[in-house]
Amino acid sequence: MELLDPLTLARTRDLAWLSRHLAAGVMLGAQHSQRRGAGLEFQQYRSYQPGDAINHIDWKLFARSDRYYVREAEQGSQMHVCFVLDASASMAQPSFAVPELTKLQFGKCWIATLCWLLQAQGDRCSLLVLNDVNLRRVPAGQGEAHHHHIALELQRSQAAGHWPGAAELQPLWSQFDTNCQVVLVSDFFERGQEISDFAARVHAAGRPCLPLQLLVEAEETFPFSGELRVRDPEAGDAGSRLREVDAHSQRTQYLEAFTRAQQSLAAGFAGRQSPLTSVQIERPLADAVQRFVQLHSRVA
Amino acid sequence: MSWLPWSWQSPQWLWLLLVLLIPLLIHLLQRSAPREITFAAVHWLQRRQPQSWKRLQLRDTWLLCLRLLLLALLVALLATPLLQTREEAGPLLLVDPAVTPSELAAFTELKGPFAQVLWLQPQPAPVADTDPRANDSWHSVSTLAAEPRYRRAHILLHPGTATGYRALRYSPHWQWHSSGSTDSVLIDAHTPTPSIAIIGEAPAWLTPVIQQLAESGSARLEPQRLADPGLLDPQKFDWLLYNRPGLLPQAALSFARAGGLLLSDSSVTIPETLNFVPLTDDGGPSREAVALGRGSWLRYRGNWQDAAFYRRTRLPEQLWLQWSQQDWPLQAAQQPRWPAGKPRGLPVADSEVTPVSREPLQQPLLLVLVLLLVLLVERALTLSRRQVHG
Repeated sequence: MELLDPLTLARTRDLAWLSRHLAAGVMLGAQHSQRRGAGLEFQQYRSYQPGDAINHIDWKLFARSDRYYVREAEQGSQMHVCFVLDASASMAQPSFAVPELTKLQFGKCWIATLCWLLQAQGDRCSLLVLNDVNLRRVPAGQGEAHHHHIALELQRSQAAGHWPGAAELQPLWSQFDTNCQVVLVSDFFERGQEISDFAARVHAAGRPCLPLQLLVEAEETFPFSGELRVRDPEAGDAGSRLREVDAHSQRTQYLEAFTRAQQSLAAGFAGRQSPLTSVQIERPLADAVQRFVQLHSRVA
Repeated sequence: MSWLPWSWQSPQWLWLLLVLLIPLLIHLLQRSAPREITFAAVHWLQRRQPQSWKRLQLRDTWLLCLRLLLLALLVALLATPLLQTREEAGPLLLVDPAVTPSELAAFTELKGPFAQVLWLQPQPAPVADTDPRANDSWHSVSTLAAEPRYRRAHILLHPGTATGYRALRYSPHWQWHSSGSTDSVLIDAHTPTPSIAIIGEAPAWLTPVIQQLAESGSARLEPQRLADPGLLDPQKFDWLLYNRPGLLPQAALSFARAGGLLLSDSSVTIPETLNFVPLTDDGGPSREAVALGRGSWLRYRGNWQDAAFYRRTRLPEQLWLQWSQQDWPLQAAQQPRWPAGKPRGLPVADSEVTPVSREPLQQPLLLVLVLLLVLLVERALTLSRRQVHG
């Protein structure tokens, strides 16, 4: 499998092209059986009605029976996948190994890639980019043009502010399809419980909420030493933005607290039968897509 | 740095040790600016008050030590250490050939055994095996002063044998002994008193000055008044105090030429022009001097009857010093005499002596290897740290 290095991921502007390229990598090997099965499963013949496409007529049957029959294939799963991308300021966290690559950039590529795979399968996708500054929305659609539309909208979105409050989310609830699956892409760094609550509410409404957590390697290993001045991207006032920290003395305590938080987060999602996928943005993106797809085989 | 078991071949390179300040400064400056990072997971970091004392702590102490060691090694390599081999133990005795065997035996019995007893001569030889060569012990002492082997020797002198007209060179570590008497004075320190003739009125300050000199024990002068300069005899008088304003008589001039010291103030003149040299080396009355034949003329500026001349608290000592310094025959007579333990002459400092027993480090290559090893470790540490920091 051809792996894109993180630097290319960070620097490529054309998300539509990049996602296709990545998707080709993800689907190598799986591609044939998947594409042939999907949407081409033979179901029944029915007589030709004016308006049917001529290339759907079964010409062999016509030769035998002298009547026009149309092969009717099983329509694809016709699933609707709604991507929800957290665009709060903490998603602008760059990787420490590749400073050009941010969590948001990785998330955008990841969504665009999965979206391409889904549209090739005949599924419908929609997009929600959420923060309390600006809210972007692409309604459900299908096809290459729609993928392009989503890729463009993704490209325009930027990380700022916080996760939107209840009042800002209120008008959105009515717009969720009844039978859609929600893919929630975030770092799940919350001030309170707002993102978990959102996932829980989506789940409670009968729509499976599939979470993807984006992490930076340093968040899991804390490889710093010496005196640090740590800037909190989501802290409001300037006073609490910077925090003086002695890395050496805080390391153990931080790693413990972080692991505990991760475990409780994973436990919450596991309880709703939608296990959490955590990926490090320094790792290959195609792997992340594949892991996600394998975990939620219902999606792909 | 004599406490070190080695010394340096080129100690001027040790000034380079100042470069040790550079890594220290770098570490101090680095510490003063903590690294600033954006870290969204800050939520799980503890909030604490920044401790001011922690700022003073050096980071990466081990790395700093390695760097300091590296620079120190480099400087040491440049300065080339000289290893010191142990000198043979036991005191050494240098014996004046004039000392009789019985005196020597008495001395060694009194002062304890010596590891080696050698003749005091330019090439010392053992007393037991060889006969002494006839030589000048003054010259021998001066020669051996710079010999590292004999720097800490005991020296046994026979009174009266050490004479010489050049400055004596000696080692400050020597221990002096005198054969014969137990007197601490090696050679009679009594200096010959110059005899003084006065022509003209004796200045008013002369009598109190002579009295004070006698009281302080410096000299017991007995000036003699002469009415006629023709009676001046260089064999009889050493100094002439001439206090008659006007032209200097020929007899006084020839007295100085024959080796006497002529003392006067500036009222005394001479038709010829003499190259007087002003002497302004001490706090005494200002004066000038000129050499005349074997003697000299010391002439005071102005009138020595003035209060400005004699109103000085230390006038007797100053005059005595000025006169005796100007009297060269007197100086020469004094030269070979010195009290025990306080030789007059030039001490040869340790820094002037080339240590024979020190030799360059056999393998400077070893030092280079250590240097490279330390450099390797330092690089590895630094690079691993940089990787961690990202």
